[in-house]
Amino acid sequence: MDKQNTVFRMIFTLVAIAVVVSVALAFVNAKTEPVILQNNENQLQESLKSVIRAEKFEILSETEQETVYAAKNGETVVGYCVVNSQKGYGGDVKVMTGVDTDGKVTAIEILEHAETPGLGANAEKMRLNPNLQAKQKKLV
Amino acid sequence: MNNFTKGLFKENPVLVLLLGMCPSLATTTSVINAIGMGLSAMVVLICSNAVISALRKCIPSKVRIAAYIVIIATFVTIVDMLLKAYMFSLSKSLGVFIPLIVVNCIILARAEAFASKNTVWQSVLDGAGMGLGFTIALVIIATVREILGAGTWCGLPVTTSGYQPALMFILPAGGFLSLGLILAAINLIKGGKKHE
Repeated sequence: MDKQNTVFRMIFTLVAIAVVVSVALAFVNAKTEPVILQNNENQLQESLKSVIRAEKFEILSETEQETVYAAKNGETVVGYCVVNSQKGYGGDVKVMTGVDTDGKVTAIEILEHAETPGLGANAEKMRLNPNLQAKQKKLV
Repeated sequence: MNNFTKGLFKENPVLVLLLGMCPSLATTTSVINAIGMGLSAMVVLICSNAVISALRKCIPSKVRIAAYIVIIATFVTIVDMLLKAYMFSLSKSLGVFIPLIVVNCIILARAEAFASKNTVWQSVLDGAGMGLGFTIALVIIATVREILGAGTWCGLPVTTSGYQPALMFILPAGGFLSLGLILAAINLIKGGKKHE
């Protein structure tokens, strides 16, 4: 065996590389993690605001299938946002629905999908159908 | 200097060597995505080439592939975290393809074929050239696909209002078609020169 390929030398090199690399990753992670969390939070708040107008949102209940947020102006509840997902053609479609205190749907926002561009993906451009609002009143 | 320019045309990783076909098909649905993907891969390529070339005398040849993968994966993870933190919308649209740069064969191929045998400076030039060549190739494919498939370029409308976009071109099938036609066109130009 030549000098370079001794077992000790191989193990030592890999361990040394792994240690240096871990330190570098830990450093970058420490710097970027708060920014990434903030980005995700901002995006969530933005989409919550787009389905129902309110000052702040609080998580009411959270399960694997759905998350419910209470939309509040000060201390009064003005509506709810429900985030859940349904099976689409190309995977799960994550939908956020805003409901006001009368039980009327205020807006629907599609958060994530993997549908075919030009066909299923056109659901992104969907605006709330007036017929749906009429039906909602009957249900309530 | 030759080490830099060869990656652009003569040994263009996508259009001539046909390496890295998966990201070239998957991320070329829009020009913005293509530029983001190309530049991310270029940064990883330059950094990994530099480090691997600097360590080329101390890495035992029997464990070199494992060492290269660890070094490449580190830079990919760093790029991924930086994109998520500072270019949020781009990282959302590129999705899983940023972490997948780890297994992009262009990067491992350059580490094995070039960086492990050449000086740091030459390896950086090689990485920059190959990365830029990769970006250029992606932008060419994405230009064809975005104009035909969506009627836009970089998100700006470029076709007349009467044009009905041929959706197929931003679907996977259109990716294969455009890539094949572009490769044919390039071979036609090169073949023509050979006969002269």
